[in-house]
Amino acid sequence: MMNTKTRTSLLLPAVALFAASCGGGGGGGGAANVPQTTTLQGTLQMPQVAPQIAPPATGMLEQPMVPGEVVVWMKPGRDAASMNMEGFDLVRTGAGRTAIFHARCSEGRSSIKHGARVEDSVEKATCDAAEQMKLHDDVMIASPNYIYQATVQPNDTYYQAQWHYDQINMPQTWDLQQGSSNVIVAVLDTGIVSSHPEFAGRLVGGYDMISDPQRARDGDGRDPNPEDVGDLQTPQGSSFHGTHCAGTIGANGNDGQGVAGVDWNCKLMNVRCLGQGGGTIEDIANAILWAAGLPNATGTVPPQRADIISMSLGGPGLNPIMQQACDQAAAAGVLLVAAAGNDNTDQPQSPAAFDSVLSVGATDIVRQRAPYSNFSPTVDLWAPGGDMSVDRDGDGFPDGVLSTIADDNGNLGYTFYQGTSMACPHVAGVAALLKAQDPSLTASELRQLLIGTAVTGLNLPNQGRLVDAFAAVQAAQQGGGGGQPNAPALVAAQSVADFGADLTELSVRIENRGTGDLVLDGGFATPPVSWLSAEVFDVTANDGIDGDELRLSVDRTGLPNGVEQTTITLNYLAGGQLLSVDVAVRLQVGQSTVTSDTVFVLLVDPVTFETKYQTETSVGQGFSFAMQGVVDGTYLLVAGTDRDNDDFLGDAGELFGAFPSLDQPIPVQIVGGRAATNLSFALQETVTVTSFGLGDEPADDAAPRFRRLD
Amino acid sequence: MRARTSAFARAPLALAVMMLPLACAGGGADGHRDDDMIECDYQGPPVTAELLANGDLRVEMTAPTAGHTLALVDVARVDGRAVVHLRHDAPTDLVAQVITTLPLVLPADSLTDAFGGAFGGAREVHVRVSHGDDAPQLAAVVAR
Repeated sequence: MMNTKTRTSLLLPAVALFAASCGGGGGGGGAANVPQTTTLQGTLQMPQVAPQIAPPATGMLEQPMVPGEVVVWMKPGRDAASMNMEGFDLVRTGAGRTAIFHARCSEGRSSIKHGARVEDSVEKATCDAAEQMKLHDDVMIASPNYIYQATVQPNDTYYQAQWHYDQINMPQTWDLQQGSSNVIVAVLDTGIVSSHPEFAGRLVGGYDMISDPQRARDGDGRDPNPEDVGDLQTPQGSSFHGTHCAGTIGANGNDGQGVAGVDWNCKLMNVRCLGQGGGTIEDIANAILWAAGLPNATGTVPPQRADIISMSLGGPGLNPIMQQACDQAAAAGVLLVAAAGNDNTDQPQSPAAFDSVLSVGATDIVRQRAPYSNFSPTVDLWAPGGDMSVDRDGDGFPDGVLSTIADDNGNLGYTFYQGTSMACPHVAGVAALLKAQDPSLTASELRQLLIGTAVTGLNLPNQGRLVDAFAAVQAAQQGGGGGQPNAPALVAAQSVADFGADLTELSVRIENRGTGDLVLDGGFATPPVSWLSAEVFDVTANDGIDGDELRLSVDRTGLPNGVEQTTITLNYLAGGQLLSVDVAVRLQVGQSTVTSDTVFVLLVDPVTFETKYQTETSVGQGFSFAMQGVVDGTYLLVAGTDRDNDDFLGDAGELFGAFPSLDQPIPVQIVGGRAATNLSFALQETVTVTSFGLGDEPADDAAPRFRRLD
Repeated sequence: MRARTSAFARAPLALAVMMLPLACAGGGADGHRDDDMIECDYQGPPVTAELLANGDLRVEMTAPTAGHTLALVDVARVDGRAVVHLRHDAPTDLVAQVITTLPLVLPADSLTDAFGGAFGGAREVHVRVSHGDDAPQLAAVVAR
């Protein structure tokens, strides 16, 4: 059981008070018994950590617009108020170079027949009007006045650490589909700890298929109680692997606690078949048959069979008994999903490599093959499995998959794991969303949708495809059971073009993975940043998918150290439908980057750690701070961010520092009202924890906590 | 419930341990040592070893899946070195496909007492790992 919470103590020198440097003048005088006050000033140095960039929406977006309105960006020196263009009325203009025009003809071209919008819609008229506006000499950019809507961002406490969901476009997907309780996903694993609050109301009856009581560790053989009692996988404890995988599939989402799963409503069928040392072919084969509602060694079947079976398990070779069980379950209409394996090999393994099973390889946070993932040609699909050897997003956590966990002492919590075991439940969860979107979809159609809408061009082995939940659910929404949505489907191979500190050129493929033609709508809109150049080229990939290539180049000349970022929006037209895709661009200049968070600077009592004074600073102030009216005394000077907004500084993933250094903080002594200036110290990312416990506050809670004032 | 951490220094930990892990040069034949280089011939799940401040030896294997085991076979003293022999067994059943770390801490006391004082004057600790009943291979070297 991983519970590597790292705790340290604050070691303050007992007597080494720091007399703050004198800031000239001012001292002296003051009546007796009247507290002297002074000013503290200083600056904070930020760590070399790049702020996270939220990947923008990718995939097909049908953006709503204000009917008839065209927003224009005027060329330098041109005045919208004096612009006269036939067929357009100026609606409003502001102090800048943007203005809103109304196309007089647009409403007249709108027509509705039998409740269905026809091609010659007001949206199309508006798009046409924007095209016309672009031709005007005074206009630099013209675009329909799109209405942008926020995608669902779950409010689960640790959602921000679940980077893996952005990778497969989950936030946009949750706008469309959050799952159905009519869909059952069987989790064939070590069992599920049913008391975990993330599974409240989500479990349906399961089965413990482990026949050997010693392996099962629950005192008996097969029985209807699949509770995970632990597999004692290592001397340190049990893995509670099934609980982790189940959390990725279906932890309760947007419930204000813990983590989110892919599907927030599906039912989870707990079928225990892995115990201490793993699981036997016979037990697992019977578990597959039981979940599929087929005859098996127990003589029982569930009241309702599973729609999807998730198997984050495997072993070398192709076992015929296992294959028979998988083939029978697939023939019964169940979609089987399995982990491709972690041996960094191209050798197939059971059960993932069977034709009747959807095999899932693992990707890392940059959507490349995770270093351990198998890459056999039998891998059908890729999904995030994580790579905990790195922290590429600089959030203070290893880049593993965060999900639900327990330990042998009955504690419940959350932790990071890595493996194709973690990739598999992502796909199972997306399959459950598809089934919720269209209950009539067969297992074969689910498989085709998942593969047919997945992202290509990522340099994954064997032209591998990364599952795209949004594209898949959209395709299902449009009735595309054949794996190709029956409309254009616009997807960017990368949602973020990250130049880092060194790169100067990057390309991003934009693909139409649906049917019908897409036409680039007169270029693309990008904020006028001088450091970025962009061009679009028409290309066709080796796999025959038509697309464009967005070629970007950057020039860091004259830019200050830090991070620059912007977003490019490419608009495409397909008939009357407007599709757009956003590509975020991030550029680092120099090696030092800063946070965009507010930094709280506190003066605290060095004994009680009570906060006495507080001020705030930010990147806009160069992280300098000044604190006035400070009375004589001895204080500890600390600063940090409060990204989780819990009022405490220095939690996991937050910046924190103390004067003069975190290693050896020394209290500041204010004497005689003398100003203390040049108080400069560095902040750093708070140390990583790899698990979060529910109610497991350690007993040796000696480390002080620093609370900001309201 | 909180994700509780502290960023304050772990100064005592930094006072460490004056031992240098010696890099194993890969690709060697049989783990022999010449004047400049110790060659590791181990092939298998990654193994790291370090001597802790209290004299314990900590070995960690990063196994590709669940179901792997790592166990101490014996400790011997050979040519002034302590040679720790560990046995690794890969799973034979189907297992969870999750990367699993297998830490093994050999207490200094047990190493010196139970194994005849092998660590007593040893200048190096060689960690050799066998896969099942195969011959052990040199996986890591730690200097004292």
